Amino acid sequence: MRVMVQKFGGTSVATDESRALAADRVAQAVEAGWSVVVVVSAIGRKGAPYATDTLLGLLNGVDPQVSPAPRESDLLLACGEVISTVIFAQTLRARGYETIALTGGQAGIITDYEYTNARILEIQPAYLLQQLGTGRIVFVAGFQGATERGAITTLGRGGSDTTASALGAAVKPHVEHVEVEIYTDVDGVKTADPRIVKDARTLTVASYAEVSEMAHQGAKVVHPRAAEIAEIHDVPLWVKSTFDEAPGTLIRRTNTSEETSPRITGVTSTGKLVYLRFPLPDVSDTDRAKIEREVYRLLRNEEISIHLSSTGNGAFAFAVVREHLGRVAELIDGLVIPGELGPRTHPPYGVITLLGIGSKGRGMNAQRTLLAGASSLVDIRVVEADLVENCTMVSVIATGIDDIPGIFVKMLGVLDEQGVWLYQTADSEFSMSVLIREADSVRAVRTLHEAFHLGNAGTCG
Amino acid sequence: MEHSPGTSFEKERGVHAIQVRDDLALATCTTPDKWLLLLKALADNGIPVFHLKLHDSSITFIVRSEYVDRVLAVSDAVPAVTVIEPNVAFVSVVAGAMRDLSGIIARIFDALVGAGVQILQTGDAHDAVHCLIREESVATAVSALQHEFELAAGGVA
Repeated sequence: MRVMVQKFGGTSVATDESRALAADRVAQAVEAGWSVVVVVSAIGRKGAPYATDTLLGLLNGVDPQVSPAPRESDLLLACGEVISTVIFAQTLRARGYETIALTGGQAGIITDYEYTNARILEIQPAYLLQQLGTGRIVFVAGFQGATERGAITTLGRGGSDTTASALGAAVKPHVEHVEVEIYTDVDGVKTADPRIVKDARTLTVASYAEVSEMAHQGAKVVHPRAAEIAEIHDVPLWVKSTFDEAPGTLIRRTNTSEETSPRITGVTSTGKLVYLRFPLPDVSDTDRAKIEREVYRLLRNEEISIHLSSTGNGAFAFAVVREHLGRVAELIDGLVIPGELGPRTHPPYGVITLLGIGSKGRGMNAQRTLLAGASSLVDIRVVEADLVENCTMVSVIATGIDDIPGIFVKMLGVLDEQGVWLYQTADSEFSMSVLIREADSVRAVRTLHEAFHLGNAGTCG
Repeated sequence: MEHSPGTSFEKERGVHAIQVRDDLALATCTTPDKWLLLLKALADNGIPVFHLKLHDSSITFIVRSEYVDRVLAVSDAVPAVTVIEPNVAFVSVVAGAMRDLSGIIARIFDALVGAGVQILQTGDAHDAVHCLIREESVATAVSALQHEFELAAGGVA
């Protein structure tokens, strides 16, 4: 048996017209001799009656002050995919195909109990394979599974991609061949967001690592979790458009594709960020570490993630998502951190650090007044954060970076020539990123895309 | 026909390994108007640099120890002022879904500061937080991080 797992996103099944095109893809696979598993997302996006966000809005609208139980949230959220799966199955049934629609749990997807973001523990594909064996097209509701006790769980962001990839992995040991196709509204993995770069090229082949990195750095292609599962189980993934016949992008292991390494893969941008830099000149390493630790502890307590952290050379700095800035300011503005006490027998006995954020610095000013009485005993060190609002991160994705000398400095030089101010940089095995003003983001992406010859006129495979 | 129970379909979530990369040097260029020239000259000479960080009046980057002499020679030729701190190492805390896991850096600071390890530089990616420390502190740092993240001694890669 040769199994094709096809996943269709919400826009692919939102209207009669798009469903008909999606149904054509399923029918083509069946006629080509594949046994087909179809994974379906909820119909449409926010505002559509059965979209996940719409269902969540209904639940939260009961009483915004009372958070829904995660278990019940999942029970409701899973309905969107169930509805679209049954509707889409009926679309193929109306064309004369034998179909069966399954929930994630019925398809054998067993998860842990982390409702709203469950992790797949195992998949028992016996029933799914049995149904395929009878010649049926098996439709599976994406984004969901079930606990060992049968409670419905949802898989979190990118859940339907994850479902498709995981089902491909689950059936692989039992069939002759398996491939997974992710259908979306673009014709494959692009070298840049085509809304920003008009001549962004569709990659013919990409590695799991490339695609995962692109997704982590903001490209809206395959969810990285799906790419990671496919990589673990060595399942080929295709990204294709529901709406045209372009061949799409094949995602597979790097070591099976000489085309993918080394090369510059693409340019991405992501995040509405705020960069905070705390200048700490003449502060001992011990005190600086204590200050950083206290700040990070507070952010941790509020589950606020930080990015692009940097320390040393008279400062420490990090970025947070812009929507968290208000809470970060509440937490840190006016924060008092005692330093090490000196061995002195007379004042000042030590240093107290007072942190401030924002031009108003109300918390800091209030604390400064309160601390005035102590200023005869200890030194008060006032540290006001430099704040850069409206930042974003632009990244160049590459494989074999060590084999492409000067790639990072070229990136920096090109942006410097364009007058793009760089606040911070980061690099990893597969990417080089810069933190810049959001207003420069489009120009930076276009400039880098051109500088690295990534467009349709480019030569990178 | 069924998968055996326990088959791992997905990457582990949370911190699952501590990695060490040693034999490194921390370079600080204190001539900010020359940093791009310096980086270009290093690239032209085939010297890989990584973990570049921009500071108020300097930049820092990491090179492998074997390149230190060549870095200084290139810097002199630019000319730029570059200071080298040899014998440093990266200790990295590796996790799945890093951006969903707030607080890892806080816990790293808790562990390392508590153990008296000085953190010279930090960096983060979607799957790891990196801390640059002196090589002499590596054993202490690894032990402290293993304890903090409840990893067995075998969790060091």
